Amino acid sequence: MGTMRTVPDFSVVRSGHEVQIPEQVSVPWQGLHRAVSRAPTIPGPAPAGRGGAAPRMRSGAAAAPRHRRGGAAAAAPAGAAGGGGGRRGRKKMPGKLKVKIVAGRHLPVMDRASDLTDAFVEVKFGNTTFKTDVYPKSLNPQWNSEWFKFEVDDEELQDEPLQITVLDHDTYSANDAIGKVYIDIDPLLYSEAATVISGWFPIYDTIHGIRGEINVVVKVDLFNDLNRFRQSSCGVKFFCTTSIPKCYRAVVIHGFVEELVVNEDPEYQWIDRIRTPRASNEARQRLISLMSGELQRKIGLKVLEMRGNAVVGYLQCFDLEGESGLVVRAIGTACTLDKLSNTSAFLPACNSPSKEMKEIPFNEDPNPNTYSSGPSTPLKNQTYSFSPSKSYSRQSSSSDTDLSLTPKTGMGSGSAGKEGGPFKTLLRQQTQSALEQREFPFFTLTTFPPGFLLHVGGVVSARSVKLLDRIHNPAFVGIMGNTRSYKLLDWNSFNSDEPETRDAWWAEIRQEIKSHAKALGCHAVVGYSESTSICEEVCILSASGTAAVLNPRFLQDGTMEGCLEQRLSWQPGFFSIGSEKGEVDFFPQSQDSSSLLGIEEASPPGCGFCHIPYDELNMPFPAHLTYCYNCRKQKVPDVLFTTIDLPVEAIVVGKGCLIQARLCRLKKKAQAEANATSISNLLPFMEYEVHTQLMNKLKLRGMNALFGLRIQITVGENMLMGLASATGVYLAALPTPGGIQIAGKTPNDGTYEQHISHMQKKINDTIAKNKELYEINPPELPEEIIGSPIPEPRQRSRLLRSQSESSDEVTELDLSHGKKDAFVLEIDDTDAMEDVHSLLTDVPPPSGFYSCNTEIMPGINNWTPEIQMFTAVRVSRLSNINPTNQTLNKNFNDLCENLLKSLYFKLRSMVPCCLCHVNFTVALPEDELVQIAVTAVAITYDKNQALQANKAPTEKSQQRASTDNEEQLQFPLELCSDPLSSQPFSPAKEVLEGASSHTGIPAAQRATSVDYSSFADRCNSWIELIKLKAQTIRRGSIKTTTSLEKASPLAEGYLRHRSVPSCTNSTVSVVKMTPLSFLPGAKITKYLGIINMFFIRETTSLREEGGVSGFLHAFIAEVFAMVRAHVAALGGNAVVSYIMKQCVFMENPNKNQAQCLINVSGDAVIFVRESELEMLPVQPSAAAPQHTSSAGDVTT
Amino acid sequence: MTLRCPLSVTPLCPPLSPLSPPVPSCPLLSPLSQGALAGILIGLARLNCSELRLKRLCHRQGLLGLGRVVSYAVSEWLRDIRCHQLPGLLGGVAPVHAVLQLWRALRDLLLLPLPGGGSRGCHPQCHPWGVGSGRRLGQRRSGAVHAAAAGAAGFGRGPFRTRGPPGTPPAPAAPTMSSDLDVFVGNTTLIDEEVYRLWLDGHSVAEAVARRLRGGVLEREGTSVAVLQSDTRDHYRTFQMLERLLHAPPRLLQQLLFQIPPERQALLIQRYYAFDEALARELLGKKLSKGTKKELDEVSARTGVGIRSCRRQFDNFKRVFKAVEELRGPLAENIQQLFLLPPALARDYAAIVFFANSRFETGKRRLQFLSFADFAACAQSLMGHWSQGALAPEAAEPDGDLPKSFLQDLKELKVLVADKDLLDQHKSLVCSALRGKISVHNELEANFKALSRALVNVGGKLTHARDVRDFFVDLVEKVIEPCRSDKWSPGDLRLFLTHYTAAPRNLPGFR
Repeated sequence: MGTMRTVPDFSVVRSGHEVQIPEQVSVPWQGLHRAVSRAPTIPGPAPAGRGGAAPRMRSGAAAAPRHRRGGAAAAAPAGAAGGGGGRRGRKKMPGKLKVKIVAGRHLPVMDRASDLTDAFVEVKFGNTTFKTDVYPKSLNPQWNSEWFKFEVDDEELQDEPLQITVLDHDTYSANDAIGKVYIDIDPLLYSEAATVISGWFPIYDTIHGIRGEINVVVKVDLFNDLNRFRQSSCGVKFFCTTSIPKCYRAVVIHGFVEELVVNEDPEYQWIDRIRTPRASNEARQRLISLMSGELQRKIGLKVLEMRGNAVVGYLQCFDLEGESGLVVRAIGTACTLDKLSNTSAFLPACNSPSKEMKEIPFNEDPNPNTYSSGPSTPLKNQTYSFSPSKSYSRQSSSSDTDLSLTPKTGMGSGSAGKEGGPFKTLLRQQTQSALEQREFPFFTLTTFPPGFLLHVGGVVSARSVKLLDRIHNPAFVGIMGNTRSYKLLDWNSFNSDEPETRDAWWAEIRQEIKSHAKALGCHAVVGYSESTSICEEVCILSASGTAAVLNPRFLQDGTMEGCLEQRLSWQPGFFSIGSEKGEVDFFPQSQDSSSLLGIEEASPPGCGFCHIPYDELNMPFPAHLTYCYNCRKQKVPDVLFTTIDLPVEAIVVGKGCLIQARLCRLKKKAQAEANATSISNLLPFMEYEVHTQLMNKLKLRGMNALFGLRIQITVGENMLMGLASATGVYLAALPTPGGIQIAGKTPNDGTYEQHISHMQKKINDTIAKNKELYEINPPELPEEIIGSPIPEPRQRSRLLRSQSESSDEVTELDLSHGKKDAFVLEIDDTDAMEDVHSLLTDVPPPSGFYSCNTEIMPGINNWTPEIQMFTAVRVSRLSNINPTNQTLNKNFNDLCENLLKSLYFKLRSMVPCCLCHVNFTVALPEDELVQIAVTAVAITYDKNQALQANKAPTEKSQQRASTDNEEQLQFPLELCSDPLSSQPFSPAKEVLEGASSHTGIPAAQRATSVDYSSFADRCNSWIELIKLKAQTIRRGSIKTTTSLEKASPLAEGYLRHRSVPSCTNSTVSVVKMTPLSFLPGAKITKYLGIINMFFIRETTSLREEGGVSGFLHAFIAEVFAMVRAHVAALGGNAVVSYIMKQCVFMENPNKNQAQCLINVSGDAVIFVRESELEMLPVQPSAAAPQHTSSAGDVTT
Repeated sequence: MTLRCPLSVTPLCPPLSPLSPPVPSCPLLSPLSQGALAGILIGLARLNCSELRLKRLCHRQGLLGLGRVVSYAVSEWLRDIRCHQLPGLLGGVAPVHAVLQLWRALRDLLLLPLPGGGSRGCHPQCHPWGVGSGRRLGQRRSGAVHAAAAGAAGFGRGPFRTRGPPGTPPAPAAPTMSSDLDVFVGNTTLIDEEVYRLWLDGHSVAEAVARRLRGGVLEREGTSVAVLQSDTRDHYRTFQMLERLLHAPPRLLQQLLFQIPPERQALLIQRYYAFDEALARELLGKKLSKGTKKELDEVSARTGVGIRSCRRQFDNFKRVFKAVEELRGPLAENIQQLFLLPPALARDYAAIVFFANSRFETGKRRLQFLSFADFAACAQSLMGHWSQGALAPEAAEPDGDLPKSFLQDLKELKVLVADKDLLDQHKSLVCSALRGKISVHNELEANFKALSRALVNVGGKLTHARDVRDFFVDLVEKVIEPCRSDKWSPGDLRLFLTHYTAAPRNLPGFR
């Protein structure tokens, strides 16, 4: 095993990352109990009957109807957290779901004799099924059905997907299913989101893929005020975006919400042996759809209880635990969001984005006298919790125990400085107590409003190894033997005597994270995420986040604007329950802060978050601290690791780059407990090595901070793989990193010495080259500034942080510039040599390319609107017969590097561009097989401007901060009226326009078709022309009854949605996808709802479909297509925060079979190009052809 | 008459071309028997008579109600007159109209290969025939060598799927670590034009990679062979998935699976349906059946087009043919709408469909000198002037067939040669009009009768499907080759035909 030793400085490494070796090792054994989870509130024993579903429709059987309202609701175990204390059993009809099946196209040929299809459609929601007529002998049927109406309650609305099955009618034999469409109707339940879902959906079959398309219109009429029905959480908005969505304002950020739901996996049921693969897949798809609907509803309930109205950073994951079941879990951050429409309230804020940032440090500093009494603080803070609900008290009680961890820091400060000590503790206490009311003060957000983050401590992570136990005992089947199909089970009835649940597992890990954060002097964890890696019965649960100190204001009242008047307005109400004193005292203090503002103006912002939150003299780990290079007032560590995105206010030198640490470790094959032991023994070493690699690579690039760090440890049968990705940057506030020094172990050997020096030279060269490449040329600080007498403001700051004063003299006066704190690598064996070599083999991206795994590339801010989102998947066989760690490492390294290389090659036409949000996912599906999936987006940028802007990086980044703010704050002003102004004409008029342009091609187009200059022009014109013609012809030849007039009510809705988005001239509306939360050069005007889709695809003719690659290629393309179709049907034109959370691929080449599961999610949005915004009056006319084509779509 | 294969033409050209380079001379001249003015007179007289007779015939039949054929002919004439008031024609007399139509088509046909004489302005062919064909031949010969090599390579590869461009060939041995699965899917489908071309040309992945390597991508982009392979495979997979959609281009516009910008879609379609003229020339007039498809190996060897590419193109022809076979209306427009092709390409496809439908014989050695473009131009004129759509748009018959009634009418023209008077009158009219205007006047006077007879006979025979097939062969054999041996220039021929068609309107019977 390679050992890389570092000089004492190494300990700093750990400042970034908590490697809790002892704890790690101790953890696994808690997991040996049986895995059981919290019971979902899904009652209902056996399905009563399957309605009209004929036996051949196995899928119908599989998707067993849930008799939620079968009276069993009362039996729902109260164990469901936060769920429905006393609110169960309401059976009202809050809504009516209306569905209309319009037409189909490009259906597959189902009748070989006639080469045609007699298609009809079954529409199913809950237990109700409707059917359309059979449209005989056509591949483009026009059903044009009546409105099918489902009377449903809101709970059902939230949980159930609308299920549309297209079938081929056979007179003599069973009807064949062509495929299905699942439509999540959740987006229709928000008041301000989409009102209609209408469009072409691909008809998907789990065996054959997409088979034609179907045009469906879905509407929901809600009858009552939804808030009265607490079983449901209609109206709570969900966002995958890990920042405050662009057209909203966070009033309050409430905090962490989590939930999980467990069920049996249909794939592993006994019935699976006798049913078709298709039925199994459909059962699974439907089950997961139900489970995620339920999960979302439950999380919504929690949010409502917290008085929030939205979940941001919603991350839902599936754990396919094989025989032990299927877990769907989700985490998110509850918020109260306010739509940015009332501009007046907002106006003052956007004028002074920088001001508010500076103001923040003061707001957190309460007058020490005010809060001298310990108990009063929590009491007061208790009032912050808006809902004094049962569940809430439960949470606070659990947090009481954790308070024992806090004194650690408090004591330390007390010993350090008498005056500052209590002051600081109080400061912390205030925010801490606010947070600690929550069980877990975690935030899944990665980007925050300016000023939200006060300090960042570093990465905290925890892992635990668990054994999944079989829930699936024979007795169980015996009991349930009467049910022919699976159903959602009430786990409590079987496992009530098991104390250990998956909930408990996660709670345990979260506790650990929390305690780590406390050790770092932080009271919150931001950028929090959870993941699992499962191999057979072993499961590694991982959680990581960034310990941070938050600005309490945002948590309680969220007056982001920071305007004084705003605060005035909330304070009385806020403290109404609390002590009168609090209000009075708090107020002058804030006045005080604003008066201080003027003084503080002198110091540049953007370094506050780098300042250490922990006590210098009582650090949780040995660290190397210096004064902040930016403000010179407070201490900063020399390296900073975080899981969040780069804060907008951060000052960065040069550009960032993607840094990856890759590691492979062999493991003996073992069973159950032995396996778990060996894994948990390996884990700490892996963490350590991954960490060392990251650190080395960071230094090699001359950078000093990592953002967006994500460490993934994957367990396979005979190995463990670790992959850490992060974006390295040079933070101006942090000291310049020293170089890497290589020290040989045997200094006497001459040749060896030579070799070492040679390598040293190479490393130095690389560092120099990298500095040039990433344009890292930090402004040299003149010595006199460093040694200059402390200016006035600094005195003040010392007042706030007294420790810094003492350490000022104690530690070191000379703030070294690198060379001294060089990172030393000691080479003592070949392994280490290997490591050094691998360090040097990382090739930088080709010129014109940059890459990062954060949202935006630090140092580039002139993005052009061209984006290309992609997913690449590679499976490689590690073919070594006797693999060693080194060869495996090398192979793995090569695999990743080659993948990146091929991405650069593929996207070479976009140069100059940057790959953003590069997200690697590693899986070990089988022995010796490594699967890597990458999803990222390539965004082009303007090179000339980039060069220019780089001249003044500091200035620019400030500018960026302000523009970002403006973007966040100002654009709603422009946009709030936009949807209206863009539609000055009535829908009817649009239809008319469409009709008129159907008959005759617009004159302008005709003109272009005559005198074209470029090829593209030419093609456009004739394609356009032909499209119009083709449509008219097609309509004529098919002789459909659907004339334009008939379709017009439908087209109206269609058009209304299409009118805002793109002006592209295509019959299929273009939907952009991006893993980022924004679209460059565009404003998001509306969030239409969350997209969360799960697909299974299977084939029994793998070779015929082009092998594994052909199969997966088609499947991923299909998934994209379905996501796009759903977004387009909602009226959106983009998906932001798109993520492929799961891609499980299994093959059996001998049987010519393969199966793949993909889970994707994102936010459907409407965006408007900034350029279009300006010329909005022109837009309607320009968009006319678009209407034409979409109207054509409806009719054909 | 000697059969002239292109090979025998070539030796002719070197001595000829230096003789008259500026005035594009043509080896069309042949010694014509001089004189026979009397004949012209007789011909004129006869023509006059015939006209009267025809009219009389009309009346009589109208009165008597005899003979379905003739009465049908009358109604056809009237309809023709009604529908096509062609400018500058002898108003009212249908047979003359027919004559004119025939001549026009013939003239287009004959003039096309001639220097500067094509109706398609876009095909300036500045070489005299011999040179032109010689050059073409040279190309073909070198192409044949190439094709032989390619064909051999193709055979070496062994059997592959019958349909279209290549399937995924066996993956080449992976260099270091075997990548079982390697896919890249973009939200906007990436299309590399170079790879698309290679795919269309029917290269396997390995060949494509080799070609790309030769193209110097490696040096430009500084990447590795493995990357190039993976990229090529990705593109090939995409194209294979797209192929299904390309078979029905409107579906490509509607489908949801691939998000492709419209201009890219246009490019895909255009490139997919583009064809090699050499190949199209080979297949012109052949039945687009399985049998023909089996012969593609030979065609591939002859034309130098890769066999897979040949098959794709053949399938394209067949698909287009099948799609528009039964449709009414102008062929080119139908094709343009169903396959979203650019207008020029759609016109070429219309020509192919037209030829395949009428099964014109084009493979004879004597016709080898004609290129695809020449035939396409002929097809366009034939369709423009003779087709059902042109003659009677409301007719139910599809556009690809020549209307039977019209062909029947052509028979009536026989009077022009059968009646001595008419013939003479015709000749005198034409000759007097052309006096001094053409260089081969003597030969014209001598051969007028033979020429006229040949032309009228070719037209008259078209009622039989068998003769329709030989239409081009007959024309070349009976009209063009005599002219060529008499060294007619294209200008001369054009003038002659103009006057030849115009003259009958002055004849008594045709007025």
